[in-house]
Amino acid sequence: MNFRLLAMTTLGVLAAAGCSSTDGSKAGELGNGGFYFACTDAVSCTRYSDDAEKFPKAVSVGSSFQVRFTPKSSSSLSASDSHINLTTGTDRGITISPVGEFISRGPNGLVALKLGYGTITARDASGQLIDFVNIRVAKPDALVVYDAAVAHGDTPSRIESLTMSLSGSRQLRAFAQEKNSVLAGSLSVEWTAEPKSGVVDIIDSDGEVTITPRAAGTAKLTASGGTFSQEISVEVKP
Amino acid sequence: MKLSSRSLAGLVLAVALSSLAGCTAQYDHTDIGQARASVLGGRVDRQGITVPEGMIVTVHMVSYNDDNNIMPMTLRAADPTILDVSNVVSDHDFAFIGLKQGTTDVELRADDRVVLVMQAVVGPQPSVP
Repeated sequence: MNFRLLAMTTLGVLAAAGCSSTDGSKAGELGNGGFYFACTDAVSCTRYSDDAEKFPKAVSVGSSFQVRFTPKSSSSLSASDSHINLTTGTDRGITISPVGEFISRGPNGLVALKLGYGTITARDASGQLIDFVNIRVAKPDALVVYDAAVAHGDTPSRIESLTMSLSGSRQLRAFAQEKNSVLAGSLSVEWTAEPKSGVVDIIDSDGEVTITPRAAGTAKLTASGGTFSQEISVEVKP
Repeated sequence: MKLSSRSLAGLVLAVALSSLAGCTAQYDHTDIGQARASVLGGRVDRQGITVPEGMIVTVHMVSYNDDNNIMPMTLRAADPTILDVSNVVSDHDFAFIGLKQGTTDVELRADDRVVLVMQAVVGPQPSVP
């Protein structure tokens, strides 16, 4: 390896290291601490959580998530505050807050409400801005329905139709996609069946739907979330 | 022209007071550093403040008196529902936070006197592709 190549490689590594803080969180725009992303849905959360390299660039509109902040030990905050981890809200005098109308507070943390770029701030007890992070709120161009039994963190196969027998049931979930990339955030998905009864019964719980066949026939299952809907056909065989 | 003793005392007092006033340092100027724009742009300079809705633009600002000493200063938006102006934890850094689209004035006060008024515009975000 010649000297120029070695020098360029070293600079490249240093530059890449500068994109994130060393503790696994995404460095804030002001360099005063790090932000962590977290949410509860397997496919659209695990891959983005607790790692700077994984901090999502975009969340799905309508989804909920949490952001934690850890101030840098060299910041002007007191040493006793230097290692705190914060969930959304206020802890030890530091508050995590969304800016404007793009992201709001919700029962499960933060909720992405409006398409565009949102900002999340961390402030100290006196209201001074410690740091902030930006995240894009995106509209899904697809909802992918998948088997809930798929291991967390995988990209599961899309289910477009189901064939079931009268015995047994299936559990399905859905995640949002934009240009074939998984959008971060726990998306509130509403499941409906047509006809409403007769062929299948559905129980919708915490984003997961359980489908139980009742009689032979066909039904249409619709998952709606993030301003987008996805239909799958269900055939129940005798 | 003869001055009465009372008039003379008044004149001496007036001169003394004006001398005292001259000893108090007055606001001189404010240095506005290079603004740190948001991912969608924005600026802070003597021409004014522009911030995209939902974004934050930060800037380093310091006011000086005519003795070239730093003066304590505060910034306040006339309409805080449009623009939030916050102190940053680092000294003399300020954050202009675009809350909703609109126009408002931002007052800069040094030693509790308004010394500068800047117009702030919170504009729409460029359409996301």
